[in-house]
Amino acid sequence: MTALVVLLGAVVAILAVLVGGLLRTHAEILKRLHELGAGLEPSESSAQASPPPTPVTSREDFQVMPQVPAPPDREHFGGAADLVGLAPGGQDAVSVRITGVPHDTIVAFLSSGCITCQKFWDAFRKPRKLKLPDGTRLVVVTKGTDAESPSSVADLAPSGFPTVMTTEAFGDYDVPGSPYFVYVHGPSGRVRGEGTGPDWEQVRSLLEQATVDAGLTTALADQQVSKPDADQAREERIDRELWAAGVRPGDPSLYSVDGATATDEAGGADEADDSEGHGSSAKMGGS
Amino acid sequence: MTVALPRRSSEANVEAADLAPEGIHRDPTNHNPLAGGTFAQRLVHRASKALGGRRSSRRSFLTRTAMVGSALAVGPIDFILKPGTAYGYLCGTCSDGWTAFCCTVNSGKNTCPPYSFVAGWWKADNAAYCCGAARYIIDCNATCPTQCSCRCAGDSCDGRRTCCNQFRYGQCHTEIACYGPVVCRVATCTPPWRYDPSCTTSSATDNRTVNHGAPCLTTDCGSPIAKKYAELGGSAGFLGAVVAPEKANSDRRGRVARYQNGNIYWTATTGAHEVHGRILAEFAKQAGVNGVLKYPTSDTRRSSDDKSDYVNFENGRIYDLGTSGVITVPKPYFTKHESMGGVHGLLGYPTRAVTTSKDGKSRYQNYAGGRIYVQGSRVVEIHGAVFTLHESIGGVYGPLGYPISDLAPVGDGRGKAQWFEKGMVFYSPSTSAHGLWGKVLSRFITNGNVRGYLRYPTSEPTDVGDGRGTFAAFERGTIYASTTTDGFEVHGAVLDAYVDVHGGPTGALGYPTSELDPAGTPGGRFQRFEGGTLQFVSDSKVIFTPNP
Amino acid sequence: MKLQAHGIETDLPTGWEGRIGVRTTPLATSSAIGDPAEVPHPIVHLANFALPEDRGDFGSGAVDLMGDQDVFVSLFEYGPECANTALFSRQGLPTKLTPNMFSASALQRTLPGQAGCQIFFTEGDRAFCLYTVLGKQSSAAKVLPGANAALSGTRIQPR
Repeated sequence: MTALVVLLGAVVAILAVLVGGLLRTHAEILKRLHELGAGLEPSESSAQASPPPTPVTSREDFQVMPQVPAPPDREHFGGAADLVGLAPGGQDAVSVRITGVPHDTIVAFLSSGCITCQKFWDAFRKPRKLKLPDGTRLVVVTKGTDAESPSSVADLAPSGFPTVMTTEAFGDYDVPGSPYFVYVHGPSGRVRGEGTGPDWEQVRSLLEQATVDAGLTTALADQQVSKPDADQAREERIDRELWAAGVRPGDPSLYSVDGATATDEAGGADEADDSEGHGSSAKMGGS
Repeated sequence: MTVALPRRSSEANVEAADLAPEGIHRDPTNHNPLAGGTFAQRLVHRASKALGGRRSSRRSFLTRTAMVGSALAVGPIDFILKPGTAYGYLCGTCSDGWTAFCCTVNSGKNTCPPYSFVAGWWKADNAAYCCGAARYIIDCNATCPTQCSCRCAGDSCDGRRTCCNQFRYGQCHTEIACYGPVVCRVATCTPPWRYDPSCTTSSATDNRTVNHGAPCLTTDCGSPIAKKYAELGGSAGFLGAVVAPEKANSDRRGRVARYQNGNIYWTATTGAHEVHGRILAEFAKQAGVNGVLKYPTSDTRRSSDDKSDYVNFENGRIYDLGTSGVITVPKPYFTKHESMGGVHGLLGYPTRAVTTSKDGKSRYQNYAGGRIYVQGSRVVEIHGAVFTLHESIGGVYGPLGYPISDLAPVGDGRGKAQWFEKGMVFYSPSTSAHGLWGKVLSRFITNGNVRGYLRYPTSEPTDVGDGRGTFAAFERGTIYASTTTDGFEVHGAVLDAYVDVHGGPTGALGYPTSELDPAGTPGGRFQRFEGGTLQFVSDSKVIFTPNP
Repeated sequence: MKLQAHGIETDLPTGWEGRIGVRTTPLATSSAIGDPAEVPHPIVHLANFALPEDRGDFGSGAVDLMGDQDVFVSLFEYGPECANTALFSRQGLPTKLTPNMFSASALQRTLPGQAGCQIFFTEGDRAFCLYTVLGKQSSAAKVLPGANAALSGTRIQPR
C-alpha cells in the first residue's frame, strides 16, 4: 500500500511538473502569437471606445488659412483612386493602391515649389514624429513631370513613404492646390476627410477628426453579435469573388432592387447605407 | 538524435519532379532541405510551420499542443527547466530565417566551404562593417547533389542556419544551373566581381541586412588589414584568397593575415602593409616581424629607375633585384645607405647580404659603388676611388685598416679625405685617391696636409727598395721616411737635386733628416740628409755639402 | 493600372500595386552605396498588399509584412552577359506558376508558413529572375491566379 502511495505521489509530481511546463509554454506561445499580430485577444484599436461620429460631409467644416488653397466648391468629398505615376526622379514607374485595401491612406498632395509645402516635406522626413494613426499609410503625390521637376521632387521626397508623380491624381481627387490632404478609408475606397493647413499638426488634427468619424462605423460594427465562423467565411468568400469580378463597394449592382438601385430609391447615400457598405468592404480587403 | 523520419508522401511526390525546364534549378535531389535533416531539426521546422499560422483554431490548438510535445520530446529537462519560449527552445538561436556566415561553419574562414560555390551576391549600403562603404554578402550555395542538410550552424551559431534556404542571387557562376541550399554567406567589403571573377557586376541591394554579423566576423570595419586587403583587390587581387585569417602576432604589438600570395601586417604605428613574392620569402628568412626588420612600413614599391622592387621595414629594406637576387639592407646599413642617396646615390644597389668580416671585427655590406662597415656603434661607408684604392692595398687587412670616418671635404673646395684606423686617404678629382700612413702621413699632417706646400698625394707610401725607407709622392714634392729617420718633405729644386743629381735616398745623401729651412732663415736655407746637406740658393742653384 | 518603365510594362490586376525601378548607380566619389563598377538593372516589384518603401531587391522588408493571402513578385534583371547562360536557359517570362513550384525552403529568408519560387529565364536577350513569395504556402491555389494574371500582363521589351 505504501509503495502504491509513493508511486502515485511520484506520478502526480511528474504530472504537476509537466502541467506547469505546459502552462508556461502555452503562455509563451500566446506571447509569441501576440507578437506576430495573431493574438487571441481583440486588438486595441478595435477595443477602444469611439466617440459618437460627426460625419463630415460639407466644405463648411474647413477654413481657408493663409498660404493654403481654398477647398473646392462642392458639397461632398471627391473621389478616391489608386495612384499610378512616376517615382521621384522621373525614371521609375510606381503604383499605389488606395482603394480596396485593409488600411487607410492619407494622400498628401504637395508641390516642390510651394512655400507651405516645404514644412510638410520636412515633416515627412521624420516619420515617427508624424504620429500617423495606426495602420494608416501616407502617400505623397506631386504633379507629373509636365508640371514638376523630377530632380527637385527627388531631393524632397521622403524615404519612408511612397511618392508618386502624377498630374492625373490631382484631377481624380479634385485637389484645389498644394498642399492638400485626403484621408481615404481603404476597405471602402471612400474619402473620409480632406482639407489642408499650414503645418502637419493642423492637418493631423483635421485628419484625426475624420478618423473619429470613421470610428463610429467601426464601433457600430463591433457591437454586432459575432457571426458563426461559417457565416464569416462565406461572407469573405463572396467578397473575394465580387472583388475579383470587378464589383466594388458602392457598385450600383449591389443595391439593385428589381432593376432599381438603392441609390435611386434613397435619392442619395444615407448614413445607414454607408455603414453597411463599410462593414462589407472591410472584409473585402481581407482584413 | 539522428533518426530520419519518412517524408510526407504528398510533398515528396510533388517535389521529386524535375522543374529545371521551368527555369527552377533547385537541386532536384534536395528540393526541400527543410524536410530533411535530423529528427530534431525536422521537428523544429514543423513546429515553426505550425506557429506560422496567424489564426487560432481548434485544429491549430492541437498542432500547437503537438509543438509543445515536440519540445518535450527533443529535450524535456532543458525545455522545462530553462527559461525561454517553447518556440525559442525548439528553434534555438537559429530562427531568424537567414543563413549563417561562412566563418561560423567553415572553421573560421570567411570563404565558401567545400562542396559549395559562389552563386550570387548582394550589397547593403552605408555599412558600419565596411567603414561606411557598401558591404557585400556573397552566397555560397551547395553544389549538386547537395551534401549537407538543414541544421543550426553549430555551437558557435551566429543565430542562423546552414543548408536550409534554397535561394540563389544568381550573379556568379551562371554556367552552373543546378544549385543546392545556401551553405553560408561570405561578408566582405570587396566587390564580389573582384572577390570571384565569375561574379558579374549586376547589382542587388538589401539594406535590411546591413547589420547582419557573427562573432567570427571581426575583420570588417576597424581592421586596417581588411581594408588594405580590399584596397588590393581582395581574393581577386595579387594576394589571392585568405589562407589564415587576421590574428594578433605573438609580440602583442601587431597583427598579421596570410593570403595565398602574400601577407598583410599591421601595427598601430606602421599601419597595414602587404609583403609578397620573393621579398616575403626573404622577409621570412629574416624571421619576419620577429626578426631584425620588424614590421613593414610600406607596401611593395617599384624603384623610380625601374630596376627593383622593394619594401621598407621599421628596421631596413628588402630589395628584389630580379636576376641579381633579393637582398636585405637592415639598419644601420639602411640608414647610412639612405644618407648617401640610397640606390641612386654613391653606393648604388646592394650586391650582397650583410657579411661578417673574416677577422670577426666588423660586419659589412657591399654595394655597387662601395661598402658599409659596421663596428660596434660605428657605421662607416667607403665608396668610389677611395673604396677601389682601399681594396687594392688589402682593404681592412692592408696598411690603412678599417675606415673610421666617412669621406669628407677637407675645406679647400677641391678634395676630400677619409680617416682610417692607420692612415688617411686623400682624394681630389685630378689626383684621385691615395692613402698615407705611418711617418709619411705624420709629416704630411704636420706640414698642413693638403693645405701645405705638397697639396694632394699622388702615390701611396712606397718602399724605396733598400729595406729601410718609404716615400710618397705629392703634387708638389715627396715625403721620405725610413726606419731610422722620421718623415721629411723634399720639394722643388732641392728635390730635383736630391733625386736627379744625388740619387735620392739610395744615393750619397741617404734619407732627409730635416725639413728645408724656411725662407728668410739667416745664413741661408738648408735641408739636412743622412749623408750631407743641400742648400737652396735659387730654383736653379742647389749646393751640396757632404757630411764631414 | 498600367506601369511602364525601363523596357518593362505591366498591367496590374485589380488589387495589386507595383514598382518598376532601377537603383542609383554608385558614384566614383563615394563608396557608401557601392563600387562605381556596379551596374544596377531594372527591378519590378508587384504585390497584392501595400509595399513598404524600404525593400530589398528580393523583397526583404516586404515579405515580413505579408498575410496569408498575400503574394509578392520580384522580377530582377541581370546584365546581358547572363542571358542564355545555363542558369538563364529557360526562354520567356513564366506566366503559369503552379503550387508544386513553391517550397518553404526556396526563400531568401525562411519565414514560417511562407513559400517561394525562383525561376531564372531569358527573354529578348534580357536575363531575369522571377522570385515569387506566398504569404502562406497552403494558400497557393487561391492566390496564384492573381500572381499569374500579373505576370500575364507583364511584357518585356527586347534589349
